[in-house]
Amino acid sequence: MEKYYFRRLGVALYEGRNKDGLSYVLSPTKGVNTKFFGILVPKGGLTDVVEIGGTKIPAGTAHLLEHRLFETVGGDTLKKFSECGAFANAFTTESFTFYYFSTSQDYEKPLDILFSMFNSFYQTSEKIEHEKPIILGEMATRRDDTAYVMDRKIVESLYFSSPIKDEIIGTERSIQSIHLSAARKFFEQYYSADSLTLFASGDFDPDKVIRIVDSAKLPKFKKQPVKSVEYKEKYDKAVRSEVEDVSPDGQTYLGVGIKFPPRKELFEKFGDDMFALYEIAGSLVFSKANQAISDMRRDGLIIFGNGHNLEEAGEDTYLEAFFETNSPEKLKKAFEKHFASLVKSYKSVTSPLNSIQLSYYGDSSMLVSNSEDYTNNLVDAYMNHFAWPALVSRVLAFKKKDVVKFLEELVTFPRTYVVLSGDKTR
Amino acid sequence: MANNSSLLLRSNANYRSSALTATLVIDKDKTSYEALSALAVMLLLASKAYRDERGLVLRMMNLYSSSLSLSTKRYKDKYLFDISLSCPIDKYVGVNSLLSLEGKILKTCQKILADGFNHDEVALMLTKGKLVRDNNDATGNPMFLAYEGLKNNFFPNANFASYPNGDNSRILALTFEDLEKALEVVRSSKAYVGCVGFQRKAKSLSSIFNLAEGMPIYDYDVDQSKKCADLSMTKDVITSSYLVIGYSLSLDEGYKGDIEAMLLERLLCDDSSPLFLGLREERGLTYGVDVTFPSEHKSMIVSMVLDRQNVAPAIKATEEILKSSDDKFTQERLDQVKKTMKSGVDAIFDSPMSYSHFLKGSLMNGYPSTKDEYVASIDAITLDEIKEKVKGMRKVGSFSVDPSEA
Repeated sequence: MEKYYFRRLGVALYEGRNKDGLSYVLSPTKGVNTKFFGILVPKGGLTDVVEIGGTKIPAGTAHLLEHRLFETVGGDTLKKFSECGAFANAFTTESFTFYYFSTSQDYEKPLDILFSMFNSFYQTSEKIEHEKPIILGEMATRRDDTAYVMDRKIVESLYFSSPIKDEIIGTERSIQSIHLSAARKFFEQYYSADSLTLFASGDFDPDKVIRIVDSAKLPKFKKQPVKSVEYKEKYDKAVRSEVEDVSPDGQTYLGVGIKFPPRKELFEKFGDDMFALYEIAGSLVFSKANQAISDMRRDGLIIFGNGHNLEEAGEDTYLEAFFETNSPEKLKKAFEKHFASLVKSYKSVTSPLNSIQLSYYGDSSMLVSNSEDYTNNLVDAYMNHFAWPALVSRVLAFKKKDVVKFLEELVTFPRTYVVLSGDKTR
Repeated sequence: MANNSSLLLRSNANYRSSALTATLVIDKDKTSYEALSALAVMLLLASKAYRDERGLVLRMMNLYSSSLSLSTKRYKDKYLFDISLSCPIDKYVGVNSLLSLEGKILKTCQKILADGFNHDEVALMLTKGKLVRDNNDATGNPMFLAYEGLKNNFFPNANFASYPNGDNSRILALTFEDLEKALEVVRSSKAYVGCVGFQRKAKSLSSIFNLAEGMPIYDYDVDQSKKCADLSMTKDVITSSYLVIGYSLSLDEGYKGDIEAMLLERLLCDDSSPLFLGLREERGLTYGVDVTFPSEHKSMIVSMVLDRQNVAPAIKATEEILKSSDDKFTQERLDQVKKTMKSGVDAIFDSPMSYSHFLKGSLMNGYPSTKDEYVASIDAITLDEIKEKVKGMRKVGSFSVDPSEA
């Protein structure tokens, strides 16, 4: 076990691995009653793997398995968590799957329950089939959501062939084609003890948790040969520079998507700084600390900002933001002007970088008290082989020239604009 | 700890941030809801101290993401004007100056209320546009329309499904005079203030806020006299149906009723509940189901998103499940739900902002102000009481927003 202390945030991380290869990252935070524990499976819904051991893996397999894992040989784990006063759930991203519980009470029993979910592959064809209509129901709940529609339109407009275009949940057709054998192969490939990592934050005794982890006996499986999807993405342009569609809620929105070069290429240019730059990339471009964005708000071109998001999966990364507006064309022109002067504004004496760093520091410091958000940040950074508190220190150490170098590149990346038009008569 | 009947100060020693929630209680005849909503935006627009904005929350980037938000709400027969402040504790972000972040943010708040807003026609026009747009965001949401349909047809006096910023035509008619009047009302209204941190600022708080003596007096009831029916409307573009089913019930007054509502919410629709298991797992009618208790403990609303052809079966199944659900409530299940709820109570006290809200709520409603009191009030609810509430439920009506046939 290694212990690391991060002075800027005043937190410690305990990192280690048990004899079966199960890893752990623990960050005890005194005084935070809600303890948050989760197990990370380092594979999500990205459709980059088409076959495992000769078995086809349809889109949506990771997500379907996530649904099914709560039923074990010992019964319904959701009920068991609940009986201990713990709340449990899971989610699947493009890159990973995460099973978690939170509780302010005893965490030993819920932790045992969490481990029990990974003890064996307890599925049958009937159980897999029973889950499919539930997933189709989940799919239906998203179709009228503006943020979801905007994200889909942006990603479809940016990418030609990358698997990042595919939906994590799959399609109606791919979900129907998931068989027991695919779920089993997927489980054995990615749910082996030596692939998993336990995360925890909140007020707990790390030595006690390490003892529990050391006594956990999770199975290990032999890895099968994997056939990956072959694709050639074009990184010098977007599929379409502008798309228009109907808004599900009758309002008008403008979305902006920026397609980054392959991860390897960026890493060669920026090294580890790349991941710290990802932490603040959205703020560097879309924060009101930029005078141009502030002016868009003042002039009424932006009515509300709906946030920004940086999505990473495999070799691909894109940055997106979307805004409520009544003048999408004017707003698009204002953004193009903003991109043209972005580098200059960060070189100037009134560079917004300092404001962004101070604000990021304040947000990060306060976030440590929220065990769920803190753990999620630890997980995201871990997927890039980083301790999140180290990324925070790196962001705070950036000088103007570091950010300018990144932005000089970013303004040349392909962009797309998506207009979701509302009813003009409203 | 200080208790000045409408000011509660608690220590921030276990936290990384401080938070303050002040609620000004405003009688409806003093100003309009629309004027208060517009005032909140105009005051924030007028402030030059801020560098970023998330929705209507102003974030002071140079003050380590300290934030200030102003908002208006309807509560019983009053309007509430909420002011929330939050800042990191100095030592966690290495601040070492004479004036603490708490001091700086309080000073800013004081200045905003004292300076008021500029009589700038463009700013007023933008403000009106924002408010109308915000209202349209709500009405664009099919679930909001379903709630609105239910309210208009079955709960006409209830506060739920109200437009977030009031009536659009009244917003568009607002004048600077209306806003000045609203500002005067805000400055003179009685305040209830909950703080986690700010303990050395009690004197400043008394000068910024007009601290009240005693709780406000409410006079509010909800009329549910309409005949039961299942109603619907169609909406273009959407692909799923949005269904809400209203029930009348009679929970206890005060925080006991709040706790009964929270227990029932979990008992009826958590992962082990009759509604979740019956509608999703057994009948496959919907992906998820929610239960809410708006209208001051006089109503319960079951909501879900589902395929259009499942609407009628879901209404029928919900009625069947609820009719027999009290038989499924056991002491063991209630104890388990209480245990989960206590984790939720701990979560309130993990966040200085939610803790300050809790303190302010205790001042305005005579609710518990400590975790122990709150937990004791959860423990005091009995299985018989819960069963009695469920038995007393009566369906009032349902409303669905459906996709058009085409």
